[in-house]
Amino acid sequence: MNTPPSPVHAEPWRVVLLEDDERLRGYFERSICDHPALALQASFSRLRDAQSWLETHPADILLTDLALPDGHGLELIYRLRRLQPACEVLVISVLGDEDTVLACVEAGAVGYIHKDAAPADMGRTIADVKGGASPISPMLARRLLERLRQVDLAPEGRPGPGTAPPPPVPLTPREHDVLRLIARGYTYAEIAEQEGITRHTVQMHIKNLYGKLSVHSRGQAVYEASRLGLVEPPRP
Amino acid sequence: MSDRTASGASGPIPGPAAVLLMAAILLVAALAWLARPVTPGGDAQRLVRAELVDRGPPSGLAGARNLPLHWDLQAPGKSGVAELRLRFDRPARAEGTPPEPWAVVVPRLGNAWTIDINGHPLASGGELERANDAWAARRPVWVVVPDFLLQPDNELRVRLRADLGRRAGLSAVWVGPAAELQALWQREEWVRITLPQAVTVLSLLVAGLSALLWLQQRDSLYAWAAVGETAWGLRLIDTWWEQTWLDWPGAVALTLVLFWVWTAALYRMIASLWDNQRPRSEARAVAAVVLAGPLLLAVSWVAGRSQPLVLWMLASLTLWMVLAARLWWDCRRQPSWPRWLVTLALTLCVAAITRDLVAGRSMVELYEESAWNKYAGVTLALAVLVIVSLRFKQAREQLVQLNHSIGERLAAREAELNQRHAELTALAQAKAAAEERSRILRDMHDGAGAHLIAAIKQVESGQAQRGELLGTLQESLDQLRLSIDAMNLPPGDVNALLSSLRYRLGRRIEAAGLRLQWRVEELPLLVYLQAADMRHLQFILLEAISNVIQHARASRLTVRATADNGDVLLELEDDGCGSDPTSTGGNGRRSMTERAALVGARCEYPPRENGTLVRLILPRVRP
Repeated sequence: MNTPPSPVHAEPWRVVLLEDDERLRGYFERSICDHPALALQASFSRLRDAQSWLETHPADILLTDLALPDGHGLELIYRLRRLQPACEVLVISVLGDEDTVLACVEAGAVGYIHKDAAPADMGRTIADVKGGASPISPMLARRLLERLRQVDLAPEGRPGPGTAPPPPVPLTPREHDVLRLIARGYTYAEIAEQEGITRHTVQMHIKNLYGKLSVHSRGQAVYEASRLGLVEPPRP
Repeated sequence: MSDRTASGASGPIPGPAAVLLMAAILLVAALAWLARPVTPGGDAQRLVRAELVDRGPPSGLAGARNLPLHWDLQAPGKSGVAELRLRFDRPARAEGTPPEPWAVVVPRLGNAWTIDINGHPLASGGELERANDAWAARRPVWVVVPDFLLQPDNELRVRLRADLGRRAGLSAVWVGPAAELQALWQREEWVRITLPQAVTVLSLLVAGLSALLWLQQRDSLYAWAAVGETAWGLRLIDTWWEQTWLDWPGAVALTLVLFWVWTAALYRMIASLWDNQRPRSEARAVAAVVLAGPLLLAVSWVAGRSQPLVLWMLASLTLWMVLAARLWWDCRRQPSWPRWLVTLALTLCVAAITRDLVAGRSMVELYEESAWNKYAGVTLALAVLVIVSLRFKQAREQLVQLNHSIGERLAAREAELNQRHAELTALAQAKAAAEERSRILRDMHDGAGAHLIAAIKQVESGQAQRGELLGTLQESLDQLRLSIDAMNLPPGDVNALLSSLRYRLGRRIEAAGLRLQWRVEELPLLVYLQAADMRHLQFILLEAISNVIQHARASRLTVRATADNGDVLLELEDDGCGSDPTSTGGNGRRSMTERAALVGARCEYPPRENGTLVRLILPRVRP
């Protein structure tokens, strides 16, 4: 609905899938295989397997579930940023879990897919990520705005122990406007029209925004993730 | 002192009684030590032989007599004037020694008197010629004898006026060097004057204190203590003035009246200490004795004899002895410190008065001795003081206990309130959880559940198209998503509610061939909208959108959200065929209106020429 048609690309994007639910993995595999711009390189149900595979094999896109039997997807997202910075991560999330998605975005994910999304859409969504699109929902946009507002409201000076405020994220006014419009329910197309820019630019704004959030929130993401009980604090 | 250690052959003596007995013994010992007899040494001589010469009506006592002389006992029923001649030698002074002043000490004499030495008048007290004058003759006599008056052989003449029944007489007389007699005279002055004066002061002070306490507390005990101690203090007031303001027998009548008042007050005090539960016969006997006093005094006076009065004294004493014994007995049954104290004081008084009566009526040789009852009366004043202090102690303990129990009760009440609060909190939490659960269940049932049931029915009927079935399932999923969204919606954020609705339903609206026009402003936070209210709002909007999709046959749906002066205005407008309020849509509208009322909003359906407009007005503050 909000994504442009996938751009033509000579080589299909190499996709790696990590999902422990067999039926869902089947759907995702089919969606990926059905899409001409995507090539499924490997499919895993265990985090450790995916991690060791990714240490030796380059990939363009990682599609990962979060709650896995042998760990949390966030761990892999951290590792991957060091192992393969070019590989973009899409998170498979469940309904109403925007907090975890936000933690993943701050850890470096560029977007997320809901488990209940239709398979046809899913392939396109995955492919669009490489074209610069980053899926976002108004709910997530609202969380992001809240997150930014917390930064603004955080008191100046050194933070007290245990209450480290998230570091400020320098958004441009345009990025901020886009985010606010998304939070109010406007589509990319409507935003593009209102702001007098192309839809692609709107999408790029979102992706940049994710990137900034991730760059500026590395420490914070770890803090948040460990606070949420998702991951162990990383070893130095 | 415990019962065990104090117990003997006569049975256990209760603690307070033992302590009090000890205290009384110590008091008597202290008094005895203070009043111990002094025997002068050196050249001092005690003159006990006298030649009595009648100077008035014959007394029958003329001739050589031994001292002390006790007129009432030795010349009963007679009054008169007598001269007593006492001889003494003065040892020759050694050559060259300076002249040494001599003195005469007479511990007791009365009623009026003059003292001469070798024919030279030295001192006098009262008016010798006027019988029954006001002279009390309480003080011991101290007369300094100039050296030049003394011869080797001297005659001391004491002239006395003896009134009837007034304890006239002459004690043994001391003569000797003044230095030798000083201590003796001081002892007599101390015993006869200073101590009784102290007693009057103490009694009047206790009386004043009791009166004050009575004014403050209106306790009859204090009133009677004030009366009794005043009477006792006034009774001894003649130790301050030898020359009293009343002639005999007015003075003695006053003394007796004061004594009767004292006995009556004492009995009332005792009755108060026994909570006014003394037997009536006892009270009657005391009243009879007290009232008989004036009567017998009058009889005595008219008859000119003291026997009726003495008889009354004996009867009175007997009654009080019996009463004291009875009080001891009662104290043992229902002991309390005040009762023991007063009973002991009473016993001491009765004993002292008995002794004084015996001494004054039957024993000539005790003429010199001072009366004991004035000292015994002190114990009563002291008892009152101790009772006052005990009552203050008791009141203070009660206050402390009261404070303590108030503190305890407060603590208990606080604990109770805390517990109640905890219970209420737990109850409220349980209620909130139950409400939340039932809300979710209702959502599931009315939303996703209803659609799932519809889908199953479609499959079972076997007639449903694949697209229809998919649509139903899709709706079910949308409902589920909206339910979950509603749980995560920030309370009061209508923007978030609208955007989540669009995000979930956008596909269906599009699929229905509707062009969605989205005109949503930044809306203020409506803080009064809680999670349940947000769910109601979501339902209203979902219902309105579903109506458009299913029934309106419209091509365009406009969603407008504007903030007007803090109020939020939500409008859903379509360009369809409009709806008939009497059709099935009416049911949905009623439900929408009801839910709007629940959250404090207003739902309006302004009439349109074509299409439908649903307007929801959310006030800035809940009405």
